[in-house]
Amino acid sequence: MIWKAAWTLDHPEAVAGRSVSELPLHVIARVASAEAVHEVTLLAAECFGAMGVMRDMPLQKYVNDGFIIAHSEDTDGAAKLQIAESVAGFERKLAA
Amino acid sequence: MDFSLNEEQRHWQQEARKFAEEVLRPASVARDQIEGGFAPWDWDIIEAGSKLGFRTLAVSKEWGGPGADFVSQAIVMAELAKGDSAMSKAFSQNWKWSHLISVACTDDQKNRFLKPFLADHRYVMGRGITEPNSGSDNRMPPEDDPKAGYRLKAVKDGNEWVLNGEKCFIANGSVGSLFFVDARSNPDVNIKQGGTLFMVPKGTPGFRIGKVFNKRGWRFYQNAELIFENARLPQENVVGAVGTGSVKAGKGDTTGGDIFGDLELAANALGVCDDAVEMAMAFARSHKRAGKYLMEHQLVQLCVHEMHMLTEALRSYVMRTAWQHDAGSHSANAGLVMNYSTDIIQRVTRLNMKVHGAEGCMMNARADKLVRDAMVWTHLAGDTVQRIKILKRLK
Repeated sequence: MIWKAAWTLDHPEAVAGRSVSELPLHVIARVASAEAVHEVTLLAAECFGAMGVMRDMPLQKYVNDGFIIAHSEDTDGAAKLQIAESVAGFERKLAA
Repeated sequence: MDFSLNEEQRHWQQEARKFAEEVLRPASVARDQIEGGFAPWDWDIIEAGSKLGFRTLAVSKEWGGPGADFVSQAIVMAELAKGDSAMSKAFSQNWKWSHLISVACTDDQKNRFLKPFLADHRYVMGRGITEPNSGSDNRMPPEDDPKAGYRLKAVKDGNEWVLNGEKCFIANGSVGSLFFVDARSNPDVNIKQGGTLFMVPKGTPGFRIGKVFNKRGWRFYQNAELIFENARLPQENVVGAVGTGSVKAGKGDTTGGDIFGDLELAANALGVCDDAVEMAMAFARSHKRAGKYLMEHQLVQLCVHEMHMLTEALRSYVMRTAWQHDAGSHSANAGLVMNYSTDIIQRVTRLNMKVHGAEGCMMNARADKLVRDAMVWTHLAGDTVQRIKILKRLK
């Protein structure tokens, strides 16, 4: 997803030529990667048992970084709404 | 079905709520932010709570304690956890061993350990099971495998026992006055036949505290290494019989582990969820995004709804399980509610962070703290192992 979003940004003509969808692939990539980081870091920490929550270990930092990624720019919920609106072709009026 | 509280339960609820609001909550984030393993600890908080009866809550009236029932214990844990989850655990950790002492210890042991526990506001207790190379397999060891489980060695020498080895992540480790320690009196058989439970008071020759662990969540709560180098204990400090494993040593009483311990974590999680729900509601009602209050956005409404729904479901399950314990009806619910609480506390605190948006993760120290505290549940008491183990209780 990350590769596809990056490639699409480099090739706007592919979107214009309808080879690639007009959806906000970079937003989809961000949400998908944030969820993957969250899930993977928590599982990795669990594998370490009690050491998974110790500050001496890097794993708890990775978990924390995962939360920050999920909260960068929009929250996951707002980003998913943006994706859904794009799928539906809905244009949101900007707040005054 | 009647969920109303009796006068005594109501009394404990009010006392705990007041203490949480006036003492725990104001100190909560400040203690959490202090760097180091031991440094977040504060004896003044323990002493203040002890004077109100929270340290000795589970000691029977017969032995001079408040003798609170399980419903009261669950309520107090939740109320204290709403102020600070780790501080609540520092109190309730003692209740486990109060249960164990009252059921499994001799009158001589009660006189030697329960009386000083009741008399000293700084007397806290812990249990040493986990070792660097044996954690989850203590709880669910492969059948009949002497290599599985704790290895701390106990060798009889006259009327004394000599202990050698190490325990790690032990609750109240750096501050405890008494520890229940599982040791291997016979390394050639499995831990159910070769395990013996000892009472190890602070100051025992050859026994010392090692590293204090510096955790991501539950920072006030202490976890430390216990180191045994030819530590000598009298025969009179053996709980139950030699070579019976910890459950039988406790005369079949597992309130110190499976039953109370499971309820303890679930009730604590309930308090954290209550805190998260209140935070999210207050934030959503007072902060605007895109020209309107967060609470008016459907995305936020769905978050708040889910938080309430899950928290109320957890409350019902916790109180039902506590009531079952008081009724002497032990079921798989104790284990199930603990596992349920792990899922719920993590989901609810995460939703609270989500409602707070970018601020929740990076600027709101309490929203961040609740998520960090909740993460500890996965790593406590072998949550995943308990999920598998609980199947044996399901009929």
